[in-house]
Amino acid sequence: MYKVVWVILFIPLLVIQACTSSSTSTPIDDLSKPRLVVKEVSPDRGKSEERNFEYESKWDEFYATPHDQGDSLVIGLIGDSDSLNPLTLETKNAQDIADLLFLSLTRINPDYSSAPSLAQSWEFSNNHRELTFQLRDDVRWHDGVKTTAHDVCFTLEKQQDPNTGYSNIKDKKYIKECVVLDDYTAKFVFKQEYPYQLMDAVGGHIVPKHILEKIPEGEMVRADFNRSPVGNGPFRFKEWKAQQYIQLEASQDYFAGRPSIDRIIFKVVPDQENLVIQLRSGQIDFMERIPPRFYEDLSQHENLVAHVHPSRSYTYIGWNLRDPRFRKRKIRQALTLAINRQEIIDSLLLEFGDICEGPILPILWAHNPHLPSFPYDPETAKRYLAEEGWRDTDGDGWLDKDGQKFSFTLKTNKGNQIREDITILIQDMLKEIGVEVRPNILEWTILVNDSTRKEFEAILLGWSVNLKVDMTTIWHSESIEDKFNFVSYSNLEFDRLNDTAVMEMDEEKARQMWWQAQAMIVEDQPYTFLFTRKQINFVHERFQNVQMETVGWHYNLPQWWVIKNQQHY
Amino acid sequence: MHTYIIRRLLIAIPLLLGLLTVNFFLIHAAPGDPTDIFYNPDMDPEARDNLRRIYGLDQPLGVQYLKYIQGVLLDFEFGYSIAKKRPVRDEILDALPNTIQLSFLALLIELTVGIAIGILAAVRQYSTFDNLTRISALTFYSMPSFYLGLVLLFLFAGGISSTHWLPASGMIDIVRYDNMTTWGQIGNRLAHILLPSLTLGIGAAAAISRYMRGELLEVIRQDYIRTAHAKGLSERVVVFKHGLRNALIPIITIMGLSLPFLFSGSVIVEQVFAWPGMGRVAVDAAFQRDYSMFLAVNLIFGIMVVMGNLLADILYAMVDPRVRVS
Repeated sequence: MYKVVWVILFIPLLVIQACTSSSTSTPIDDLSKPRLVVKEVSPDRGKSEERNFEYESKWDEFYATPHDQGDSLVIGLIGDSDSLNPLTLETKNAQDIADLLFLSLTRINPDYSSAPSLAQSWEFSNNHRELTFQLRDDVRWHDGVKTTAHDVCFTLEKQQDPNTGYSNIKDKKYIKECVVLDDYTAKFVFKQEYPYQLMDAVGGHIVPKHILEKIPEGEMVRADFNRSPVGNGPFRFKEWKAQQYIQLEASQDYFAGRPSIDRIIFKVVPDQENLVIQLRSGQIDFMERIPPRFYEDLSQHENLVAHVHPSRSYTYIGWNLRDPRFRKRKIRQALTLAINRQEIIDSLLLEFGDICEGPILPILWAHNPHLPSFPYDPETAKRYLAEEGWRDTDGDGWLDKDGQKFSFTLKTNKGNQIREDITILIQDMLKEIGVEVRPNILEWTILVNDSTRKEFEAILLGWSVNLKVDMTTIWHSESIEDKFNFVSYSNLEFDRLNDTAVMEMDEEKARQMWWQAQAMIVEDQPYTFLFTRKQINFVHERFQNVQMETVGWHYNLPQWWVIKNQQHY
Repeated sequence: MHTYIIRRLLIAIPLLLGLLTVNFFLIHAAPGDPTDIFYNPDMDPEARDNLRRIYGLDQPLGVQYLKYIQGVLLDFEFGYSIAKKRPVRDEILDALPNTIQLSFLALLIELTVGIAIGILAAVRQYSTFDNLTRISALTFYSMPSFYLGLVLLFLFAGGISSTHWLPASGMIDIVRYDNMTTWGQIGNRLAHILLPSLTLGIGAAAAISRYMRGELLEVIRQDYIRTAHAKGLSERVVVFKHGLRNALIPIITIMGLSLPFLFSGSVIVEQVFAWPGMGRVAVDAAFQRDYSMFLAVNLIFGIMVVMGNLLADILYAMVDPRVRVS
């Protein structure tokens, strides 16, 4: 009997061991096939109007060569999608799926240049106020109807209609109208000239007019089309079982050629541990955004290949500048100096993170590589704080001023383990200079509410950045009240620079302005910029020609293929 | 009996309306609203305001309440899920049968395993089997369901090796299911439901086994059992025909009350095993402030509690002739 008791007690230990065990990793060089693919992207593209024919010819080359067809790709998702209608979807998962179902006027190359898609060419008028797209004439909706310029203009009309609920409506605010010149030519007329005209015009997917024009105004969010879409992309919609899976199948009449993989199944598994188990045991073939703690274990599996690329997000601590303590620039700089960002990266992200110095990431063309830096230096931090009057006068180990201890609450959201761990590390680091941090982990909606009402002292969050460089919504003083400048950063010189740079047509001049604007923010430190993460994805080794990019892990998914005798399904 | 059931059901209506009202104001009092899940600097405040207007969230709370209650009472319409972008009714019609399936199997495991072990432990009081089941029952009863779920996942679904005996999530093998024979499909469904139903049922079975053992031990000390023995009846007849029938009475009450617990337990288990049922809908609705969905889920859980209690009372009266409903 004692043996049985021992076994029962042993089971939890076994699980804990399985969760935490870290076996020695095999050096990547020892393996005959590439097990780790790392992408470093440093694009030099601003307005994305230029075409990069090198990418385009590579893309076309693939379709010119025959490849084995068949097999299914099972993708693990942590959450279900909200809608597959490009006009009403909000979530990233839905966006990724819509990218496979629908075409945009152009697609984005890994260097962020634009490549033809539904539009085979485009041209600006001399005054740069009109942009004319020449469409392909061989693209069909999955119900057989041809995709035309009428669909393009209808899409814009719906995107601009406030009753549609289109989330990127602001991208369309400078477009005056869309004119159908003939079935395959559409002209966009702009209210003014500005750098991101092409990007704004092509943003979003084109939707079928012949289906959606029947939806009454204001009813788009409730349309059946949201859950049974008809697209014109490389894959067509097959089935959606709520909370279970979404199934797509290769479109036989895709204009560029039928994708090699027969089916793509997006399997919904709301538990991360479970997803990793399924990846390891072959129940799913692909998972993106894998937390670094799973990397070592998964990289031991011979049938999995890691694809690592820079992400488009950064993590930061925002200081509420309405708080008298954080209103002082020197105090904010001191707190940044006292935080050992490299240690945070080493302990939580392993090798999959880099220190972030400013709000425009190195993957974007406007990034300033010469920003002032605030390396870990607790002694200078203490000096700065002392200069502002914060000293340990009573010898209790905590800094104080006018009888008040330097203590603040650091809020972040529940469910993000890395952020929760960061609060503890920062608590330890700031304790060393005599500043008390009280971590407060909140449910997401409560945190959002607190940030909107500016009811916080310091907040730990992250931003995903857009390819379009525009710092208005987060940093402009006009965004303090109702947008995302919840730290209440206000710098009139910055506002002026931002407003000019956003509209500057000369890329080099714009770059100089963005460099100055970034330097201003970094000098002011309204945020302590912590790190940017590298995105880790694992995919089953049988898939060939896998190319994952910062622009999207599914950048060339229609071109993935599997050798016949290796196909699983 | 019929009058009794109808009366109980009629009493339940104001109770459920009260539940709906309290929940409505509670969820609206919680910070944030459904558009907070779209927290993204690319999304203009204007776009969020548009969504609020489209979904009627910009109207005064009293107006929203009246509209909601009117929809529920007159049209049996539970509103529209903002996060799922579909009618709440459709989402619930998809999820509820899955939870009923899972809960039914868990109940079956709870009763068969619990009662069988309870009987054996009682008739072999203080034996190794009795001691062993006591310790196991304690272990499983005190183990949180998410932890037990993870243990089962690691042991059987590919956690400790790259092979797996049982699937880790979902209801069917999505890729192969359509090409299976009918028996293959049934087997595939059973394989998928086994781990979540075990996780859900085994803790409750542990409790039932202890109740069963205790009740049966009490019953077999009664005079009429001694009389049955004196008549020369076999042990099996005495235990099953005379003892079990009386010992089962309190178990039936527990069974009726365990129905809502099985439903609420499914909230965690469905999350761990990606079972597409009401539990997952409930979790998502609460975190996403999906008001209409949250209210409907709570109403259904409320109905389960009322029905579970009613069922327990009715079964109690059926099994024990001394009890009469009035």
